[in-house]
Amino acid sequence: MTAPALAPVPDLVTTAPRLSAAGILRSEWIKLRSVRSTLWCYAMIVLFTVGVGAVVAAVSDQPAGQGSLVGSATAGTMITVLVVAVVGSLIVTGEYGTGQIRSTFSAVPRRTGVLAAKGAVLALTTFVVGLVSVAIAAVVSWAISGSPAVELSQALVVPLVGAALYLTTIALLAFGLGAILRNTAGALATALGLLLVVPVVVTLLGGLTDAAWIQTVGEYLPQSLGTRVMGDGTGEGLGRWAALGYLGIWDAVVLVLAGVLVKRRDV
Amino acid sequence: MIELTGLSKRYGPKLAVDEVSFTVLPGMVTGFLGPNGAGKSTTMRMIMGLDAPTSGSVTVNGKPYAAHRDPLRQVGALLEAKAIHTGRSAYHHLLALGATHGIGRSRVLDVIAMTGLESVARKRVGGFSLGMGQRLGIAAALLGDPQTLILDEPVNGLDPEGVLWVRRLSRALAAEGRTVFLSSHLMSEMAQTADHLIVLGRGRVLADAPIAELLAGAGNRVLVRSADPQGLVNVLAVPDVTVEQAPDGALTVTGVSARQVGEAAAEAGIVLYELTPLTASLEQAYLQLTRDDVEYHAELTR
Repeated sequence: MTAPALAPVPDLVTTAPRLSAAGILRSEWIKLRSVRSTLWCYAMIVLFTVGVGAVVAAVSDQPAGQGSLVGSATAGTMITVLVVAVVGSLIVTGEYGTGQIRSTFSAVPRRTGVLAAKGAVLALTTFVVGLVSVAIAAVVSWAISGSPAVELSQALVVPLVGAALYLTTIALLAFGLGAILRNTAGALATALGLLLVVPVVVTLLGGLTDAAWIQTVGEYLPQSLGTRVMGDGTGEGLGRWAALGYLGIWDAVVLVLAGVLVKRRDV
Repeated sequence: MIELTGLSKRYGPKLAVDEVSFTVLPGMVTGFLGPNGAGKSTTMRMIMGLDAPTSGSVTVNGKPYAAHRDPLRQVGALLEAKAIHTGRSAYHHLLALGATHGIGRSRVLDVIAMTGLESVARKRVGGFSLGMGQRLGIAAALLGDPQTLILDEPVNGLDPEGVLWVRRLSRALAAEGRTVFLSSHLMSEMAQTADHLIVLGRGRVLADAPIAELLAGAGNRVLVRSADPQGLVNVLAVPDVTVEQAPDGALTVTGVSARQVGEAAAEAGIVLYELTPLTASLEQAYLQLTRDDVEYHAELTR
């Protein structure tokens, strides 16, 4: 590398630079799209949703119709929910792991704005990518299953929006865990444990002990709530929007704790 | 301007920074010197609001750093090499950092050009050498055209040309009236760059003075070679004068001038072969300071 000549520091010509909410949002959007890992994760979400949906539609023996379309379009969520957990964790633990967080908090020393902007950018991107994915999956499933013309009804659209919302709440949950734990391995283990291991343990315990309260606990785990949010809304128990509300409570608890810790801790 | 008042930081049982008070003034380069673990980086992180002080306070340009509406405009900091996401390009790192303050692409390209990073700006930072990482850190520090610059070990990992560049940049920024505060463990580097020096040892300020004053305070020494070293040692055996004798008979005398040594030798009729005044280097001044610090602590624990 050649030695640079000492150029004079050019003055900033535009209006005086200062922190703004819009600026912090733009900054986080630039960050999200300029790292390969997040782009790969979002590409995988589209791929898995459409791929799994196509396979389910191809092998399904259900009568073709709205119900089966929703079923195949959201089937990939079982996998993509894990991918959004990875994105949510990485977006913040990647900064702690590399030391980037010190640059970030030097630019925004009050910190809370960074957390809010990251969460907003993550939520919006995940919702949009999630919704586009299930929409494509629905169209592909429809084409594969050879259904007759399907009406674009509420019964079709609402569960698909629900699936995108479910993915969004899980991304935020993992994001909050990442901000609390500051470590990719820890945050992922906790998030995936909550999504994969805890439901199995609860089901096992429920089967062994027959205790009603354990089954109740199972109802309120993120994964069970997600099934309600993107289901057909006809089953017993929690309704779609109530389940979404409980997912929101999960997020709120974790994110408030994350906010308090991020504000107080040394970096 | 940076003002620290009774600033302390405790990590568990260890007091990393102990009641530190000093002021870093604009218009000059202030060096921050101290052995590893002296608390330099911790102090700099507290100035930037990254670490919360256990007690005491610190302001930058009159306010706590976090209270400014335009932090990047107030202070540019290079806190440690590569405090940067390794998966992002240098260009996008700077673009994202600047975006928080509405600083756009043209300024990003300016600082990339200033730091000589044009050829690697689009590459991911993970592949950068230590020197390129330092240049990127300095580019980030300059992004907001800040009034105050805080550079932690800026020449670390730079090639000689890069070292020269940092030195000229620091001097130029100070000449523009900015506050330049830089740490280094390289005493020689400080001697050539800084106007004022703050020496830290075990979390305490050992010295806070202009470079010239520190050099003068270190005491001058005289190298003497003589036909009769032992005779000369006897002649110089007076209070406040110390004499060290090398195996080849050369004497290093501290506490008197070359002229006084010559006069004393003539009076005693001792032949001198060599009489050389030795100017204390900053390094000697620094070692003397930190040695005193160690003794001070030894007394405390006695």
